[in-house]
Amino acid sequence: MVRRILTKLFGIKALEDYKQKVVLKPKYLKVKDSQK
Amino acid sequence: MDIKTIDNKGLKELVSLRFPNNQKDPTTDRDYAYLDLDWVENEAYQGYKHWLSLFDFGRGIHNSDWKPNFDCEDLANSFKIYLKLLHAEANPYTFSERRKGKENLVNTESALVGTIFYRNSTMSAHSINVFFDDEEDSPKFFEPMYGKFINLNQNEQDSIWYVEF
Repeated sequence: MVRRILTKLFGIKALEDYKQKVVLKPKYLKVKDSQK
Repeated sequence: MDIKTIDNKGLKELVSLRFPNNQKDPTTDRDYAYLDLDWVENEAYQGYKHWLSLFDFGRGIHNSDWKPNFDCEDLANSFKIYLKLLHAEANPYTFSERRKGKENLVNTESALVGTIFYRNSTMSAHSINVFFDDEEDSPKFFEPMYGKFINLNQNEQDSIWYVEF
């Protein structure tokens, strides 16, 4: 739905710009050497 | 990449230790991956705000997204769900696909973010998010109304009766 509205109103670039702001890559904690 | 994780049993024990007055099973998944808390506060929260901006709430109390019909537990639950959506997006491969060589960043069923309810006065209660950090698994409390980690005093921590990850 959101994809359709953004694409219709502003084109595919607006959708991509929006997605770049919202769909982030999570950053996880890594195991420390002392915890292995 | 060795990402720090905790399984269902371990999380139940940790919640029981940290929040002894919790009234329910705090787990809904098999295992969880710890999130980087600087990333949560400085990057993920901004993404969450962009996500919420799709919905034209207008401004709530103190320029927050709080509204009578989208209040503290809705903010806490939606921030939790947003982080779980990012976790699912970043780790899309099923067990069958992984057997064929596809690799996720981490294969846990969930990211380690919870919702809590606690008493913030004798007459009122509040809901926020909780994480565990890398040092001694101490709880870190996050106010999703403003996007900042906060401290709860001992009475507030002792009053926590609902925890769900």
